[in-house]
Amino acid sequence: MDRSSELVESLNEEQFVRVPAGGGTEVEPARRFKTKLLEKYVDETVIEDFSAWLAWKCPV
Amino acid sequence: MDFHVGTIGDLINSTACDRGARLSGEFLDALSAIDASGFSPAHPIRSAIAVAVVGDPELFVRSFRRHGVAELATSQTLDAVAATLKPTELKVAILAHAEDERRHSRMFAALANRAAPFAACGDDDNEWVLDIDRRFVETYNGDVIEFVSDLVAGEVRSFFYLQSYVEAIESARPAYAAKADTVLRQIIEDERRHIGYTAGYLDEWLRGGLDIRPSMAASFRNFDVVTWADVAATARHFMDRFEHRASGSTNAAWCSDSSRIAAVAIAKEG
Repeated sequence: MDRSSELVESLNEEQFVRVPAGGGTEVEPARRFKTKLLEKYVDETVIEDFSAWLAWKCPV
Repeated sequence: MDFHVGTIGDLINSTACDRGARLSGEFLDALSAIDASGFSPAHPIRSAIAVAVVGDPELFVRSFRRHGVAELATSQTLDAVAATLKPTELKVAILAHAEDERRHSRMFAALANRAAPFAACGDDDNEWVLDIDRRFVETYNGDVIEFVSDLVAGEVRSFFYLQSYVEAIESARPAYAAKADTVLRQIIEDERRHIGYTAGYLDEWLRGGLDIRPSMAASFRNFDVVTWADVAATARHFMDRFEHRASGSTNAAWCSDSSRIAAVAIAKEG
């Protein structure tokens, strides 16, 4: 298997969304994914105004 | 196990293999770019410094004491960050990592104590090392993704530091090496495990669509700046001694090596 095939094989569905064939933006899926990760890991009770903090960390 | 690993990419890839994982091509490319930028702890100058430190009993003891305090400081930072996390596998891993760092702190202190009778130095005030981490915790903004990126760079730096010490001790202090070797290799093996889990998260997040490459590059760059400053300070220490001993030196080769180290390090810093 050559390097290109390995890369394609390693891509998942979200990465295909992230690099659309016709160009477009990859910022939105990445932002959503980071938001999802921070919501998964960070305890919202230790951050004052968690929503505002998320918006700051993952700006639109 | 042979710890000699040439590049950051080789090192991180080997830790992935240990875990039965395969890193993405994007992640490996990002590591190659960091390697190409000349990461300081993997630079030959770092090995030269380690040889010089190991050959100087006072600096050797002081370095290991400082490593011990630095490991303690890191454990406190890891505990503080873990306290901001939900109970996930990542939190469990960070808490276990903190416990490892506390153990390393005791191991470094024991290594320094074993060598201390042969060094003409008193206790050092290493409170400033703890202060650095205290300031980090005070200003930590809660972004665990960026924190994990910093962790990878820090652990990689530790790996290369320790590897250079093992090689230097084995060649310069064979009597001490037998005991120190086992201890240092245990710490190095732990660092490899820490690199493995942290890099695994970064690769997973990159595959998921989050471009962590700028954050990772910044982390390695920041650690690079600190490391070169440390190299320059160590080199200046040797340079000062060279100036003091120059008139009646009986060790021309040692002086030559030290001045060469200082010149390269200071040029790099500038």
